[in-house]
Order: sequence, then structure tokens, then C-alpha cells
Amino acid sequence: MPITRILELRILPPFAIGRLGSSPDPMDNYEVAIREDDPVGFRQILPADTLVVDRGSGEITGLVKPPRVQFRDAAGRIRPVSPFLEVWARFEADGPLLPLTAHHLADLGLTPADLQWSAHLGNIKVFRRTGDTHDKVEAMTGPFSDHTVRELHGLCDNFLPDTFLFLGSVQYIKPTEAFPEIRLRFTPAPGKVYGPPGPDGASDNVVPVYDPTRGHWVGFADPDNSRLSTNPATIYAGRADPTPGSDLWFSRGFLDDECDGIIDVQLTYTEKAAGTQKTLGAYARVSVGPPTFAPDSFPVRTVADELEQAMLGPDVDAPVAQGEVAEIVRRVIDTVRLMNTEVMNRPTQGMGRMDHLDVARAAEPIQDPSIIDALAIRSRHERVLLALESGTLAWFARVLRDYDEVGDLSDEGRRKMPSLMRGADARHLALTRRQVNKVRAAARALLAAEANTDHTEG
Amino acid sequence: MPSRLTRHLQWTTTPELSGRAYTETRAMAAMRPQTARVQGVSTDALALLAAPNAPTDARPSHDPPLAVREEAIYLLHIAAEVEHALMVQYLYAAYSLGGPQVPPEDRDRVRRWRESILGIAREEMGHLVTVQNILLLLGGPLTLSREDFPVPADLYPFTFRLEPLTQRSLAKYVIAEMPDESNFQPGTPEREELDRIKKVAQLDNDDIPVDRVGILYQQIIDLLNAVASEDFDADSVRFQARPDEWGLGYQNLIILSASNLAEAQAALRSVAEQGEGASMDPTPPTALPVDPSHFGRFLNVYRQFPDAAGWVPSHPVPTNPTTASMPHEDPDMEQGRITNEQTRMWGQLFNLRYKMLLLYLLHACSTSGRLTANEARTPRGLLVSWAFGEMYNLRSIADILTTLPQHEDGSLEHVGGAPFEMPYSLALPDREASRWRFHRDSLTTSMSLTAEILKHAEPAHRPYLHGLQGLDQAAQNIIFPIIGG
Repeated sequence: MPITRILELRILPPFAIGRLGSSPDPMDNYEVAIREDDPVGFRQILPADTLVVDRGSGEITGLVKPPRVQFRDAAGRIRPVSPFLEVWARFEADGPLLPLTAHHLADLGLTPADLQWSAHLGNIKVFRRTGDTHDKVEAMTGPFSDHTVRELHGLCDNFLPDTFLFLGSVQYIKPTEAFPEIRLRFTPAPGKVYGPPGPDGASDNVVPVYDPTRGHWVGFADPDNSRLSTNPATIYAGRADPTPGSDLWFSRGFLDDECDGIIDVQLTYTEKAAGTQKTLGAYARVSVGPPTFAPDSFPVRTVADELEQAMLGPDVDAPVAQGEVAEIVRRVIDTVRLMNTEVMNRPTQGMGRMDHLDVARAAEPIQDPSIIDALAIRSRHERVLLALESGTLAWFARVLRDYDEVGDLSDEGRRKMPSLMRGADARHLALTRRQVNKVRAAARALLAAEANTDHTEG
Repeated sequence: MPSRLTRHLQWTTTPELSGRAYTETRAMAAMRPQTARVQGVSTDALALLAAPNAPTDARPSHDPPLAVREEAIYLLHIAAEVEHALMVQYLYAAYSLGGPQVPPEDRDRVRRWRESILGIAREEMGHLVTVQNILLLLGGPLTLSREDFPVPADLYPFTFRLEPLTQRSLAKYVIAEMPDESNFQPGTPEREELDRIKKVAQLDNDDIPVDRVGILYQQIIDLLNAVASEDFDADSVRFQARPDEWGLGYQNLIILSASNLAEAQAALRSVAEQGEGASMDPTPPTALPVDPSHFGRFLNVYRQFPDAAGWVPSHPVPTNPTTASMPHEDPDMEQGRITNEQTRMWGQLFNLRYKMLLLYLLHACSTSGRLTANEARTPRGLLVSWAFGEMYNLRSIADILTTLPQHEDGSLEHVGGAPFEMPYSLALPDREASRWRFHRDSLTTSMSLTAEILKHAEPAHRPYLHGLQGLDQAAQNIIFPIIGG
């Protein structure tokens, strides 16, 4: 049945994370699955249906499932993760959100060209440190409705003339009969290093853009090891101040081509029944991450966990599926597999060192050195996950660090889980309150699961 | 028939009552408790001696007496066996709790009982490990051995029996962990309650009074005073289990290492005191126990436990389950035999992982936990992790066993139970590579057994079995380079 009106537009996903990559061939879709015959082993990476875009026409030419998943192209270049942003619409007050298509637009006497997109992205990392608004790097497309590739040129007052940071591109995908949906694709930048000309930037790998005669990023130092901008401070390429006793760290003036920003869509049309003109809009956020990744592994605490907590709160009222907790434990294993726990436990490394430097705690190993061997730690966590497969949440729930224990530097406090890892506040990492509550709720549920078997923790 | 340990065990109180006479008396009493008369010792005297709070201060010792250091080692071996036996009986009792027959309103209570008893079993394991530490300190051989079925009656505080938790079995646990009776004035409600529990316990223990376990430790503590200071091997600390490795932050878990007489005595005193509380537990029946002693916690469960006519808190698990392939002549043993082939294989898998746990534990305590200048790493952490893994496996498999039929008819009126059958040997080879070959072989056996179980496994159990296979293979991959295979 033809639609007669649009009540609401959304861009889904509302928050998309791309990944830098210098290959012109974006990354294919894939799924990460748990093997039934090896539930504690590595996750499997399986090819998934992928839309193929002809960048010349802007049309989708097919939906294919590649035979195998490849993260680099034939030339060895990283394939960027280029998310699609789809426009969804609600046509009835109590109806569902549905993908908006060219057919819907035709019902209203509109064409895809009646949608107006715009993108506003930026890299303001330098500005965040220097506080100089002329150090902001921003790219704005202005409104567009055609299907050509629009490059995102990040401009900055303190750049050399006629230079910019290439922040990637956006392209409004041209709907076709086979793929009539309204969507835009964002392709991140290749992952280059930018900087000043001259000795500091004298490298084939550094694209000269920053004008040290205008801005102060070259030679800039976070004042007094300030943590106002990042924690820990001074995480930029630089040189130590040779002055004895000085903690200052002088920037070499480098920039990267990561960015984040807003993609906006507008649709103006006249609703026939009411005879009134309406303008609907929606926006989504995009962000870009660096090409350092372990695709079959997931961090133990992610942005998704933060968002879930922000959206649903720290407490867990509904029953927690065992699979949710298994996923948290599995991510713990993913994490410890990538850690050299023996080295990280040394008092001269990692959190042991940080505790000593930050609060003058005695420089001691965090865990008993005899049990911190990486293989041993991995084995132990794998066996916790295996126990969970049989319905026993062994040991895990009881030793989680609470959010208000991140500064507990007693032996017992430092040994809580996750161990040896630093959180965003520079103290010992804790899972989100919601994650911790999920694990504990699941442990209680397992304990109370009398109908079939009875389990306990510990 | 006396076992290795008990054939030398005597309990001495007065010169007139020889240890040999006592030992024989107890053996007779086990057979005919009401009528036994041996060498002029009446059953009244026996009751006086063996009663839980007998004022006679009967002390165990070796017959004939050994040199003092070895005497201490002998008694530590007995202590280890006793702790081990208590641990598996408590584990079995805890695993038995639950099932669909538990009324919904009581499930949370049953869960708390299970937690409480599992905690006690965990602490018995801590005691067992602490005893190993003291053995290391004295230069004695480690032991994780335990008498198998049929178990001699005169070694343990009460007859060893793997059985579902009942009010009667609870009574035995309460009395075995009870503090000295002098803590409770005659005529008080507490004393009267204890007397009632004692009667129930004795009734369930073939009418033999249940002993207290604390007396054994007191004897060892006293003996240690006479051990020459040079016989305490302070360097053994680097082999001893430490709470940092094994404790997992449990507050009540006592794992103490010792480098001298005072520390050894303090460790044994802590172990003894954890069993016995100082007073009757005043905890209201709906809350978890406040008194952390085993006595207090068992008493708390006992007070809440339904009587025999009430609802049943336990799965219909057998008493003394076995995986024997042929019928037992003894009907009591036969009733516990797991005859369903699939369930029997799960029981065998349980026994195998139990053996692996004990061998990992022994091997860990035979491996230095501190790196020397020439060592990049120690495999001790791996052994500790694997031992923990086997603890998890035992719980997982025990739980699965309570969902499987005991007999071929497939009926769930009788389900399986964790057999805890001892392996043919727990002797650790002298050479390091041979020890790792033992572990390798156990893993191979486990993978074969798991593959057999998988052929007819229920879908819900398949991921666990596959996971176990995967981890066993990974463990073997770690072992191969160690043994140069």
C-alpha cells in the first residue's frame, strides 16, 4: 500500500565507527562466531553478505559473500571499514521504523534528489591541547543531493597554504531497482601522518601541512604534566625536555587523519492531506579508529558497554541470559590472550609502575609472580569459561573490581579483576557497573536455578 | 581390616588402657557395638574414650612410638587423610542439594546451604594444603592419599560415606566439628540440643559415637615442640602453597605456610580452630551463619533442615556411588553402583579429573614457586591454574551427574553422583619429565573418554565436552615441549 506521509526520519546506525585504511577497496562484512566444537577456543571469522558499490556511479552493483575474509588487499594495504548510514522512516504513529526507499519517496511524489545530506567532520586533537581555535581541523561538505564522491578536506587556520587533512569521503548511494534503500557511505582516511615541514617533519611518511609560524603545536608541551586533555598526559609524539627535573614533553607537531563528526539528512515535502510543507531531519555520528585490531578478539570493556550503561543504567533488573555473561568472560579471555602478563606484573612495568609513580606506592608485583605466567593465566580463564558452559560461574563473579575500588592499592585491591590494566581514569580498570551487576545477577540466577541443576560460585 | 595408617594407630589415655586394646576395641565395636568386650575393656570404657567430648584426652600416636619428627609426620598423614575425607564427603553432600522437588519457596534456602557447605569443603581443602606445607617444613613426604571403599571405621571421626545431605548426616558433621564440650554447661538449652544431635549422629554412624577432629591437631602441635630446630626446613617455603596463589581472596580460606616451629604451630592451631567454634551459633535461621566455624555453619543448616517427614532438599543421588563394571557382593555397595553406561562414563570422567586435580596439586607443591636467577619462568603457575580448572570441572561434572539416571532403565528416580574413587596410585614420579608424561597421559585418557561420552551425549552437555577436549589438547600442546616430545 502506498504511503501518504512520513512522520519521522532516523539514520541507523546512529553511531558508526569506521577504521582507517589506505586500500581503495573497503572491508567486506564478516561475522564473528563461536565454534560449537570448540566453545572455549578462538572465535571464527566468517564471511557475510556485503554490498558492492561502484564509486563512479554511486550505485550498488551487487550483494556478495566473499569466499574468505581479508583485512588487506593484494598490495598489502589495510582495507578501511566504511560504514553505511541508512535512512529509516516511521510512516504511522504506532508503526515500526522501516528502511526508507525510493519507492516510498515516489509515493509522495519525491525522488532521491529531494533528500539533502551534509557532513561536518573534524579532528580537534591539537586544539584540545593548545586551546587555540585556529588549530581546529574541520571538513564541511555543505548540502548535497547527488551521488558523486565527496572528499572531506580538513581545513585549519594554522595549516600551510593550500594544504588540508584528507579525512576521507562520503557518497550518497544512488538507489536502484534492486537496491532502492536510501543510504550514504562514509569512507575513512588512509591513515597518514601529517606534520610540519622541515626537520621535525622530515620524513617520507609525514605529509607537511602544519605551519609552525602560525600555530604553536610544534614544541608545545602539556603544562605540568596536566591531565586535563588526556589521561595520562603527553601521549603525543615528542621529545623530553633536557632540563634536569623537568617532566615536560615537547610535541613534534604531528597530526593524524582520524576524525569524528555529524552526518545530517533533511527531507522537505508537502503532505497532501494536510497541505502543509514539512521538513524532517535526522543525524548520525561517525568516528574513526586506527588500524590496530585483533578481529577475533574484543576488549573486556568497550564503548558499547559504556553506552549500554548510559542508556539502561548501572542496575540489572531483568534476568541476565547466561550467554551475556559468557560473552563478558570470553572477552576477558580475548584480552588476556593478548597480554604478556608476566611482564605486565613486574613492578617496573604497567600498573605496578604507575602505582609507584603516581602515589609512591611500594614498587611490588601485583600478582604472585609464580602464578602470573601468561599461559597459566590464560588457562585459568579458559577453564572459568568452560565451567560456565556447564552452568557454573566459577570464581569469576566474586573477584570483580567495583567501580569505587579502582584506587584501592592494597594487595587484595590490586588483585581484583580485571587485573594489570589501566582504566580511563589512570587507575586500575574496572568493568562498568552494569557489566559487574550482570555477572553477579547471573551468578545469583545460576545459584537459584534449582529446576534442573543447582550451581554455586566460588 | 586395618589400613596402612590404622594398623599403627593407637589412642592413649591411661597406662591401663593400651592403644592396641583401644584400636581393637573400636574395630570390634564397629561390628557389634553393643556387645564387644576385648581384653577386659568394656564398651562403656570405649564409649568414654571415643565419645566426642570425652574428658580423657585420648591422644593418637604410632604403635610403637616413632622418633618424634617421624611421629609428627605420621600424624600429619592421618590429618591429611581426615581432611581429605571430610572434604569429599562435604562436597558430595553439597552437590546433592537441589532438584525440582525442592519447593519454590525453599530454593533460596537450599542454595544458601549449598554455598555454606561448599565453603566448608573449600576450607577443608585449605586445611589439607596447610598440612602439606607442614609436611614440607618437616621434610616429610606429601600425601593426598585417602582410604578407598570399604573404608576402615577407626581412622575418621565417623564412618566415611558419600551420601545425600540428610538431617542425620548433618548431625555427624556438626558433632565432628564440635568444640570441646566443656564450652557448654550441662543443663543449658545449648547442651541439651547438642546431646540430641549427638544421639542422631551416633544413630547414623552405626551406633558408634562420632569423634571430634581437633584432638589430632593438638597432639601434633604438642609433638612439634620436641622436634629439633634443625629438622625444620625453612627453605621449603618456596615449595609450600601460599594464599596468594591458592586463596583467590576467600576470607575464611586458611592456607598457611610456615618456616619455623612457631609458624607451624600457629598454622595448625588456625586449622583446628576453624573447625570448632567457640560457642553455639546464635545466627537466626534465615540468615547465613555469622559464626565462621564449620561447627557453627553446620549447626545453622541443621537447625533449618526439614525432618525426614518433610520435603526432600536433595537429588536422589546414591550413597557411596561406584563405577564398578561388575556387581558388588555387598548389597550396600551394589546399591551405589552406577549401571547406566553413559552415566558410568561421566562418573569415570569425574574420577579421572579428580586424579588429575590431586596430581596437579602434588606436582605444584613439588615445584618451586620462586624463580631462581637462571629461570625465566616456573611451571608452578600452570599447575596451580590447572588444579583450579579441575576443581571447576569436578563441580561441573558432579552437577551433570545429578541430572543423569543411575540405572539402565533411564529413570530419574535414582540419579548419578560424584564417585570420588581413588586412582590406583598417587605416587608422583621422581623425574620431572616423567611427571609431565603422567599429566599428558591423563589428558589423552580424558580425551578418549570424552569422545566416547560425546557419541551419546545430551545436546546441553556437548559444548562442555567439546570445550574440555579443546582445553585438554591445548594443555598437551604445552606439555609436549616440556617433555621434549
